[in-house]
Amino acid sequence: MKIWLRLHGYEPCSWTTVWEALREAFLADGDEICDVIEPEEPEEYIELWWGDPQFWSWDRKPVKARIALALSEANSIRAEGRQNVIRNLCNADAIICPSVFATTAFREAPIDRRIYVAQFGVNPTEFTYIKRDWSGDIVFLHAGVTQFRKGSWMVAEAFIDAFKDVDKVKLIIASPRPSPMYTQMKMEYGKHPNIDFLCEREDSTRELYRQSHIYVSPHLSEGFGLMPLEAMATGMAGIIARCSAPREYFSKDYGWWIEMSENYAPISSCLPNTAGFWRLPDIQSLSASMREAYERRDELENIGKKSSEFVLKNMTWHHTATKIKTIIKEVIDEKDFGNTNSI
Amino acid sequence: MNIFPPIGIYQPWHIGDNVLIEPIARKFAELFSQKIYVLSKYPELYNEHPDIISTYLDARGCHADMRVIDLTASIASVGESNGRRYSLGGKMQRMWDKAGLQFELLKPKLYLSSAEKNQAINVKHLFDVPCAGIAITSRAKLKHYPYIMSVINGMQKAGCAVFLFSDALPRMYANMGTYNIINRPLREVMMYLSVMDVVIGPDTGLLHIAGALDRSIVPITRAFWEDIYDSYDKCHVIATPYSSRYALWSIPPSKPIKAAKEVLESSANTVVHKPIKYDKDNIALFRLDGLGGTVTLIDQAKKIYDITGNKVVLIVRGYGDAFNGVPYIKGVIEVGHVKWHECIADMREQFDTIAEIRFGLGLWHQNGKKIFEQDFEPMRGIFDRFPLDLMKLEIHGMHHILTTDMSLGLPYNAIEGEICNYAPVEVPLPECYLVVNNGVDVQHKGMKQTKCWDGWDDLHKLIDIDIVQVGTPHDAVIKGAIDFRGKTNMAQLFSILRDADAVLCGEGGIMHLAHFVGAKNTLVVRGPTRGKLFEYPNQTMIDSYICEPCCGDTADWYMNCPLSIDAVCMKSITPERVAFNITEVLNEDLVTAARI
Repeated sequence: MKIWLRLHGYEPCSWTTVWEALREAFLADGDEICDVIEPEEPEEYIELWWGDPQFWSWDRKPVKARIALALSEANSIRAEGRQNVIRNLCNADAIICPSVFATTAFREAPIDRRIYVAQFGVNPTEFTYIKRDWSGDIVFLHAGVTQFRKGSWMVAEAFIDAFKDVDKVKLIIASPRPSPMYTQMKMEYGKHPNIDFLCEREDSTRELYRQSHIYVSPHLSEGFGLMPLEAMATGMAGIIARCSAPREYFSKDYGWWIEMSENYAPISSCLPNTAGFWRLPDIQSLSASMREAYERRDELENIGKKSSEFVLKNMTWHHTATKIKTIIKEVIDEKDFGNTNSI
Repeated sequence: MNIFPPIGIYQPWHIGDNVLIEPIARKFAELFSQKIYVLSKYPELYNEHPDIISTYLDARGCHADMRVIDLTASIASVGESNGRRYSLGGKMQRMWDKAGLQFELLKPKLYLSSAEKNQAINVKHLFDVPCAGIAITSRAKLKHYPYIMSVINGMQKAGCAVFLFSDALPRMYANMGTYNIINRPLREVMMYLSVMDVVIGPDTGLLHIAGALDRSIVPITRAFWEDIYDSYDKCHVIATPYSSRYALWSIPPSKPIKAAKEVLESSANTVVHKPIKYDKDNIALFRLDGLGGTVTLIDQAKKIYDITGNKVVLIVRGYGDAFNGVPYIKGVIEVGHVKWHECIADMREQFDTIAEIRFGLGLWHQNGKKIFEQDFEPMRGIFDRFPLDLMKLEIHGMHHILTTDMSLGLPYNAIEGEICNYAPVEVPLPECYLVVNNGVDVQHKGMKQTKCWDGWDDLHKLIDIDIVQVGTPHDAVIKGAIDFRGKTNMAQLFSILRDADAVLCGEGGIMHLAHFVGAKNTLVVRGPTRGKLFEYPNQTMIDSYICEPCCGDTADWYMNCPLSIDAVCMKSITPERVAFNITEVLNEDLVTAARI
């Protein structure tokens, strides 16, 4: 299949990570990929846009099909660029989201396009199972940009609630950039003997996973949540909020749920001017799960193994690429019956 | 050192009875040469009393060896026999007997602080006619006087300014052209009562307070309860010989009116109030606010003094004691709960140069020589919309004291000035202690505000330091804390804060005080009021990570969460996090001390 895989910017971030992973997966499948440079014969290509739809610009020349790969982290499309988002998605032949949760905002917007789900995955060569020493300090990891949406502040608070200084535990809070919350948290908890703050953008997060045993994600909302999945692939147990996209791939077989509280916080702290609220994970539940995981350390290795097995068997980028191509085929077949959107 | 154990008088009844036990406490103080504890529901009644340490009822255990005299039974005014209730006389004799003292007819005495006295003088200055106070209701229906309306009319016809005192104002009294002191804090009521030339009303605590403040009183009561007024020298009791439920209906209103008029005409009662008059050319700072906002005037006063060499007059609602001894303040005018616009209009006539200060901004009114340059137009919008849009000032990235300074043309690189009024605390404090305060301003009477935090009761389990609670008696008791609520005067409170190892509070009055007393460590738990506007240098902020600051988003943001999510910002701050921060701060002190 000939795919023109487009992205609105190439500054390293989670957008580029997905774009590169997909590109690799398509290439590995023998697909012909055009990326940064426009193809000479665009009419033979599927124009597949990924990233934030407000910045997209569909090519004016005819293409074989226009496919939108997008997600929303909230139940509404964020205020910023809303009109662009809706226009660009309406101009697609089909929309693919990485989770059912991520489709919600688009389904409730004035967008009359078929919306499909193709779950993201992991790179199985990079995120292989890692054999760890489970007898020493148990290391909890919270990674990704330290921010409100990821519930990052709760991790440290739950950690100091769950453990005393003498417990053989450690918490790593890793952020690829010093976000305001990262800076504030580092100032507040930086002297805690068992909490480490890391702020480096690594080419691969594998090393971070290798040092750690349990991945903690008390997110308020995730459009997909790649890092918990990668951590699982390497054999880490998870402590994951029972909300949004991770509910679609995580289960208690792979660790512990963080139950949701009855408290809500406005989305606007993360997505300015966007209406709505996110439900807050229950910090007591998080703390209790951390403690329980620590006390059941003998079971952690098996839980990690199961997690890794599940992810590597079902959720690699190869699976994602295959699913996307199946959807594209279905769309092209339908197009033959008169859809002229991409002409 | 006194060889006698501490003596406490336990008195669970109402205000009037609290006043009546004052002579007993005074007698004990004289006999045993020590201050006497009074355990009461109204500890603030005895503020400034030279012989009494007042505590709340539940403070019986504050001294293990305290000898407590329980006057509960002896104070009752009503007895019960075979299911029938009957009125009891001879209360004074019974109280003294119970205390084991020979009965003496001593007049009760209550005291005002110097600031309260100043405030009273200033209030009195507003009236060039006699002031008549009328207690319109009694707590006991049995004591109600049915012709209060006529008494009000009568005193108004006699040319008096009539003040009505009560917990609530029945509608029928609403439009009578009276000055209504309704549901105000006890100390404020005392201040107003002290202004009255005569106080009339049924047998109620207000009459006793007025009598104890040396005012003339005209109580309307039953003859067999008359003895409780025997000790007041400026007193004209109007009593009925009947005792039935409707006994007071037998007293025509002409009687108390006549008695009150006689009091007013009596030269013996003439009290000359000498209002402090300030020259018109004094520079005045006008800010009607709670304790926290009021105390911030220290900064502006100092800067004005540094620039002009002139001491400043402050016009505030209250808390004048906070400024005692501050060298750059000439005087304090306490105006109480007046209307802002009326008061500033009045004060502008009294001072040529006066700064009207609202949150974060100050506007100069300069009638005479222009001392301060100010282009106020860019700030006018936020100033006029007060109390809305406060967070718009956050754009300056400065504390609101400094934005005020900036707007007034004063230096705004640092907050300056300090509190100078300290006094030792009667009860010994722990060697190391954390001061906590969970409350809000006294005028809000313990109201749960959106900026209040709920985790206080868990703290004592999480930290290893004695906890001392300060605040008003309306604030909820914090578990595991030594209770100093309502038990200190301002100077003692300042000492407690200054000497604490750390102070933990919400954004509010105590936070401001902690700064101006130079508290060693202050930690502030914040939600709706996060940001530089509310951040003193060197204080540790424990900020919610949730939601955006909403202070000023709505006019009632402090009462009702503007997003209707139950102030989740404050709920999201865990006691464990707060305890961690406290421990860190205290550990840092230890490290610093070790280095030294």
